[in-house]
Amino acid sequence: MATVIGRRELEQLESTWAEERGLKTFFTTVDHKKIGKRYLVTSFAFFIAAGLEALAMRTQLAVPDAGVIGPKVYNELFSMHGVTMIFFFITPMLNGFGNYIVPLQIGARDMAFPRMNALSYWIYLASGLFMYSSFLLGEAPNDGWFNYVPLAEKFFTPGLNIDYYNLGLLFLTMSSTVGATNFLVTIFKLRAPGMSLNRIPLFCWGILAQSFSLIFALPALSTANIFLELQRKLGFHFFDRSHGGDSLLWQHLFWIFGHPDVYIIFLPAIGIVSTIVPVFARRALVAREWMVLATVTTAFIGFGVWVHHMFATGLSNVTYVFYAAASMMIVIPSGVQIFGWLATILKGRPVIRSPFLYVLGFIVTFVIGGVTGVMFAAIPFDQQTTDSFFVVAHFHYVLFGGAVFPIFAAIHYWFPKITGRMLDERLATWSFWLFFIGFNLTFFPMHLMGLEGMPRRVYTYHPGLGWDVYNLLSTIGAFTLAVGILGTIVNVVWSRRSGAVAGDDPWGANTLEWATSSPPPEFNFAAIPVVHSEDPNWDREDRLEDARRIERAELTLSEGHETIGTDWLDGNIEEIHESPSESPWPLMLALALTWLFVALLSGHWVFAGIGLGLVAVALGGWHLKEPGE
Amino acid sequence: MWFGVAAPPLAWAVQLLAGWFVDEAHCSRGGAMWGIDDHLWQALISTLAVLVAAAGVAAATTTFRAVRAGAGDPRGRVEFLAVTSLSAALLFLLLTLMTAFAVVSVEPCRG
Amino acid sequence: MSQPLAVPVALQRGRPLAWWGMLMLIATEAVLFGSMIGSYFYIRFKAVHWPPPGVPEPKVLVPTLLTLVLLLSSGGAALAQWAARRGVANRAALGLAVTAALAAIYAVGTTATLVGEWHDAAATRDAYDSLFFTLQGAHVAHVAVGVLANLYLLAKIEGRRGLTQYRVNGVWAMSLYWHFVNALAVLVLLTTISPAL
Repeated sequence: MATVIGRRELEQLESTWAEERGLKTFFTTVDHKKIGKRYLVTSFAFFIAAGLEALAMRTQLAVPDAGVIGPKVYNELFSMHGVTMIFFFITPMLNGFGNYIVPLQIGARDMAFPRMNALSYWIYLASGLFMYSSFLLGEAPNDGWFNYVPLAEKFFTPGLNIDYYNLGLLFLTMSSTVGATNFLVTIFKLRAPGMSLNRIPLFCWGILAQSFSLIFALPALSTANIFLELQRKLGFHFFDRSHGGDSLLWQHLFWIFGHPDVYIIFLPAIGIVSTIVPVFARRALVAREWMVLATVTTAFIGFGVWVHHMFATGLSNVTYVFYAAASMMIVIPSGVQIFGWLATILKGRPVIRSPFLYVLGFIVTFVIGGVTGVMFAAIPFDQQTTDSFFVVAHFHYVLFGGAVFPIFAAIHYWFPKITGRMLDERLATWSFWLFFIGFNLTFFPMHLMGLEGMPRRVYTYHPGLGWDVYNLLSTIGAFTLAVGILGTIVNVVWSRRSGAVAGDDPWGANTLEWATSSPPPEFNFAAIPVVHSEDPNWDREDRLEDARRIERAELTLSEGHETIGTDWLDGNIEEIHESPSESPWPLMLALALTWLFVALLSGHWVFAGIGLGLVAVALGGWHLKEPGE
Repeated sequence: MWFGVAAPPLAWAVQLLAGWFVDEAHCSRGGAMWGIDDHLWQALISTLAVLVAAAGVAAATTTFRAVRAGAGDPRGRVEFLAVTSLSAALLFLLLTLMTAFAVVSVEPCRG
Repeated sequence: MSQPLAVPVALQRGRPLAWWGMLMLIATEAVLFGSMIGSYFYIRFKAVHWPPPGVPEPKVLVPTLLTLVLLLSSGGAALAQWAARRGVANRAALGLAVTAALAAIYAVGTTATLVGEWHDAAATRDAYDSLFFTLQGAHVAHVAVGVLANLYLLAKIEGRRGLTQYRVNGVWAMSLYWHFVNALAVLVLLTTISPAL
C-alpha cells in the first residue's frame, strides 16, 4: 500500500479480522472461507463413501448370480448410496462452494449470520456421522432413499434402520434450513453498493433459487419423517390403512420435497456453469436476464410436478395430467439455458482449460438426461419403464451430468482462488476423459437394461435374460470413472503444495471473488467494492477506484468487525452491520442436538428431555454475549 | 409491475392445487358425498387461471413498453424485471392453457 | 463504528438482519404446518366417516376461548416492538411479559385439555386422533418456545440494565414470531374443530 493511511487501514483490518491459528479456533471459527473449505472436504469424503457403495453394487451386478453380496447388505448399500449422494454429498458440496464464494462475489466480508454458518456445518457433520453409525450396528437404512411405506413401517422393518433414516434426516434438515436462511439473507441484504437485483452474479442466483426451494420443500420431508417416527416409536397412525391412514400420503409428502430437491441440487450447479462459460468463452453471457429467469422459473415450476413420481400408483387421470403438463413445460427454461450457453460459446473466442472441459461434459450429459426426462413426462411411457434401470440411467445422467460435472468444473475453477495454486492441466485433462468415458460407459447401458426389462434395486439376476453384457460394460465403466476421480484427487493433493502460483485472477474472470488475492485475506476486501455493471471484475476503472478508496479510508470499515448492508432491490447502502466473531456456541448447540437425537433413536425419553434442556442452554449461551461486547 | 411479476405464476399454481384438490375430492370415497361435478369445476378453475395469467401478460407488457419508452432506472433493475416478468408471464399463460385443455378432455377417476 | 463515504445511502434504514432471518424461519415453519394441515384434509377425504365411528366430535368452546386469549398476546408483542424501537425499556419489558403470560395461559390450558382428551381417545387409536394430537402438540410446542424466548429477553433487559441494539432486534424478531404463531393458532383451531362445523 502506497500511503500511510492505506497501510494503517490494512493493519486495522488484519488485526480485527484475524483468527488465531490453533485448536481453539478450529472449534470456534465463524469465517465463511474456513467453513466453506470444511464443507468441501467433508462432502467429498461422503462422495467417496457413496462411490465405494456404488462400486460394491456394480461388482455384485457385474455378472449374473455373482454371490458377492447378499440381499440384506445390498438393500443397505443402494439405500445409503442414494441417501449419501443426495443428502450428504451433492447439496453440501454445492453449499460449500456457496459458503466460500457467495460473500466474495457480492462484495461482502462474511455471511449474514456467521455463527449460524458454523452451526450448519457442525450439524451436517454430526448428522452424517449419526447416519453412518448405523453401519456399525448393521442396521443402515434399507428401504431405498425414498423409504416407502408400508415397508418402512415397524411391522415390516422392525430394526433401527428406518429410525436412523427418519431421525438422521430430521437432524440434517436443521443444517440445510439454517444454511438456506443464511444464504437468503446474505444475498438479499449484504451486497456491494450498486449491485442491484439485475447485477447479482448467476451463481448467487442459483444459490438464491436453491435456498428458497429448501425453505419451502424441506418441511414436507420433515412432516413425513415426523409422522413415520411417531408411528414407529409411539404407535400413532398416519400411513396404515387399517387405522384410517393412507400409504400414498408418504409418497405425496416425500415427493413434494423430493422433486424440488433435484432442483435444489441442479440450480446452484447451473449457476456454476453460467459463471464459468463467460470466462472461458471470453464474452458476457448471452441473454443474461433469461438465464436468471430460467433459474427462477425452474425452481417455481419444480414445486408443481411431484406426482410424476407417482404415475404408476393408480391415481385419477385428471390428477395426472396437471403434473404431466407441468413436467413437459419445465423443460422450456432449461432448454433456454442450454441455448444461452451454446450461443455464448459460439459467439465468443473459447479457451479450453480443465474447468471448461467439465462444463462441456455437463452440457452433453445433461441434455441426454433431459431428453429421457421428457420421455418420462409422457404418462404411458413412464408407466412402462417405471422402477426399471431406465429410470436409474435417467437420473444419473441428470444428477451426475447436471451437478457432479459442474462440481468438478468448480473444483478446477476455484481451486486457484481457495489455495493460491493452479492444478496441473495435463493430469486434469487425462482425469476428465477417464471421468467422461467412464461415466457414459457406466450409465448408458442402463437405458438398454431398463428397456430390456431389468428392474432396479435387485441384488442379482439370472443369466440369459439379455442383461449380462450391459451389466458387465456398466461395471467396467464404473471402475474407469473411479480412476478418473482418483486422478482429480491426486491432482488436488499434489497441487496444493506444488502447483504453480495462481495470483489474484489467473482466468481473467468477471466476478468479484477474483478482485482480491488468492487466497483472500480474512477480511475479503480492504475496501468494499462499488459495482456499476453485471461483470464487475471486467470494469478495470471501478476496481482501480476501489484500490484508491483504501488510500482515502473510504468504505474500509476498519473500526469493527463490520460489513455493509444494502436494500434488497437496488443495492443502496442502508446500514453498517456488526458481525460476531469466534464463538463456541455453534459447536455446543450441535453437540446438544446430537445428544437429543441419539436419545430419540434409542427411545430413552428421559435422556431426550435432558437433551432438550441442553439445547435450551446452548441457545441461551449463544445469545448471552452480544457482538460489540 | 408487481402484478405482472406475480400473477401468472400464482394463477398456474392455484389452477394446479385447486384442480388437484377438486379431482381428489371427486374421486375419493369421503369426498364423493359432496357431489362435486369434476368437469364443471375444472373448467371454472382453468378458465379463471387462464384469464388471470392473460391479465398478468397484459400488465407485464405495459411495464415493458413503459421501460422501452424510458421509464427505467439507471442500474437497469426495472428493465430486468420487465423483461423477465413478460417472458415468464407468456410461459405461464402457455402452461395454464395447456393444462386447461388437458384437464377438460380427460376422463376423471380411473377404473 | 466506521463511517462509509462517497456512496449513496438509502433514505430509510431497513429492518435488522435478525428480522429477515426470523421471516425465513417463519416461512419454513408455515410450510411445515401447511403440510400437516394438508395431510389432515387429505386423510379426511379418504375417510367415509370423519371422525371415525366411535370417536366423539372435537370440543369447540374451550379451544376457541383459549385461542382468543392467545390472539391478545399479539397486542403485547406489538407493544414490545413499538417500545423497543423507541428505546423505552420498561414498556418493552411490559409488552414481553404480557405476551408471555397470555401465551403461557394458552399453552397450559391447551396441554391440560389434550391430556384430558388423551384418556378418552389416545392418538394411537386412529389416524384422526394421531393427526389431531400431532397438530395441536406441534403448535403448543411453538408457543412454549416463544414463551421461553420472551422470558430470556425479559431477563436480559431487566437483569443487565436495558436495551441494546441486539436486544431491540431480538424483540422485533420475536414480535414477528408471535404474529405468526397466533395466525397459525387460528388455522390449527379451524382445522381441528372442522368436523364439528
